[in-house]
Amino acid sequence: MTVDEIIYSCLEPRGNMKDIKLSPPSPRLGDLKGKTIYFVDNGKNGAEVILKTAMKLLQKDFPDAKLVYHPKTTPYTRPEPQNWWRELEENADAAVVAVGD
Amino acid sequence: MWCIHMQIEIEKRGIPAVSIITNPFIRDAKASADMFGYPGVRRIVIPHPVAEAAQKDTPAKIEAVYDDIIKALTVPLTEEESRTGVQKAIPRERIACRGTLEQVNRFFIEKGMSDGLPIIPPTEERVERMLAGTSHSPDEVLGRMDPEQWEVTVEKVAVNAVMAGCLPEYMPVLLALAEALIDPVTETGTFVRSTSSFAFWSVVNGPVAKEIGMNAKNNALGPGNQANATIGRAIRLFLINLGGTEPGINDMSTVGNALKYGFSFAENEDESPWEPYHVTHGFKKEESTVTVFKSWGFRPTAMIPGEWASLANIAWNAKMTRGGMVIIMDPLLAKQLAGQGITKRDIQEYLYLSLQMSVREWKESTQSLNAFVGSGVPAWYKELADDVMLPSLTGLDDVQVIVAGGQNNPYYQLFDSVLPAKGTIVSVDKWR
Repeated sequence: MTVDEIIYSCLEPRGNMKDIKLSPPSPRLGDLKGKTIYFVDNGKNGAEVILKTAMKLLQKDFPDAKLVYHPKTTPYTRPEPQNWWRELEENADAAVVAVGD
Repeated sequence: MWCIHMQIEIEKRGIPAVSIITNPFIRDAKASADMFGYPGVRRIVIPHPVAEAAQKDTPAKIEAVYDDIIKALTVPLTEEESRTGVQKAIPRERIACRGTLEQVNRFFIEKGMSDGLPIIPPTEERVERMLAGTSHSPDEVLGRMDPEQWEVTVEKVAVNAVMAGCLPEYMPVLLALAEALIDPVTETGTFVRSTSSFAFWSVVNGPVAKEIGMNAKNNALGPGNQANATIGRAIRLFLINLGGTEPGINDMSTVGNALKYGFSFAENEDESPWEPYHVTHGFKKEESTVTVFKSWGFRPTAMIPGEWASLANIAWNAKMTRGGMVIIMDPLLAKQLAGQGITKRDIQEYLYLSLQMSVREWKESTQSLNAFVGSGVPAWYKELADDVMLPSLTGLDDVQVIVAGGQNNPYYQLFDSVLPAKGTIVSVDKWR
């Protein structure tokens, strides 16, 4: 047998995957009329134009909806302060987040 | 990933949400949604790019998906989107493959389980020899490594160490390295996923560096030393095989980074006029540590005639650095500075006071001022006039100094370093 013919049995180098508990997203709204919608800008370049364009279009079709633009106050990897989450929980009916790039 | 993460945090509070993503990030968004256990979260895809000059096209892109945004928030979830239960992990076979050296290498590359360079086949016998380099049990769990949160055991570290070409005596350093990558402080998942192409690298301090023959002198950051080279390579193999890093899926580096092949070196403690790096950060000199840093890269250092061994020269070269920095300084320069009575603390203070940028520059920098506020900049910065000059560093610790090199030239290299600039420092000794 030459060196090139030696057969190697190689151990698996990859870490073990974990079981993942699956959760559903929140139930959807029937309608956006009169609803409060937060537009969350995660600080990525381009997010502001995306969200403000969507807000402009939605405001035209849903004049009684309250649209709130929120640029993140922390880097996109860090959580927002608790008081903002409380504000969101108390006021928001729905949210649009941008941008995943 | 962070867009999906934010969306999920909102969904968890009972608020329906939708993310807007761009098309190169479809797989990244899916991987993130799956990993967080919310595979059904709704995403709307618009064409890339959306940054800078491309923003002029954004209104048309949003108009094209406008109806989809409304539907995403109002149309009831499908059965598939509402799925609950447990997604069972796919169990790993103990043997990954069997074959000749060429077949094994082809298999590892095709499966995305290597960095593209040839590997040493991780056979049972070789892994067993590698495990002799530590007293820890092969089954001991170190934790879960990002980006995919895979479980890391001592044996899995050993398998990758064999692949990288490491020797058994490197195991305590390698286990400490894996621990540092698992530590949430390192934010491994964030910086693996980033489009900005961050590289991870490490410095070894204390007696272990000499015990395993690491190079701290000539060409310390370059090729030629087995311990430096293979420990450096192991960083990338760990990220690939222990964390599940995959280019284009959860590693979105756009240009890439040659430093991502990995490098490691030892501090030249013998020739440094200052205390070793790990001592500065609270360890004893006789203890051994490994420190993991994350960087875009390093900048060439230009010479100001007549002022080479001066703080002014370092400041001149550092002025374009954003965030933190690690100055890797040849002992020759360190000694010349120390001869002038300059300490590492003096270097930190000098750079903090001399590196400035205007409020306008802060606002126009690649991340918003808001983002930097979260990194430690006082919120009142935002209220200042645009032409007011501010420190461009958030504090003295944004500057770190490590001494390495062969004393051929009073030179230094200036690496940027994600804050906290000191990196993640882990004890090697507990892994012996």
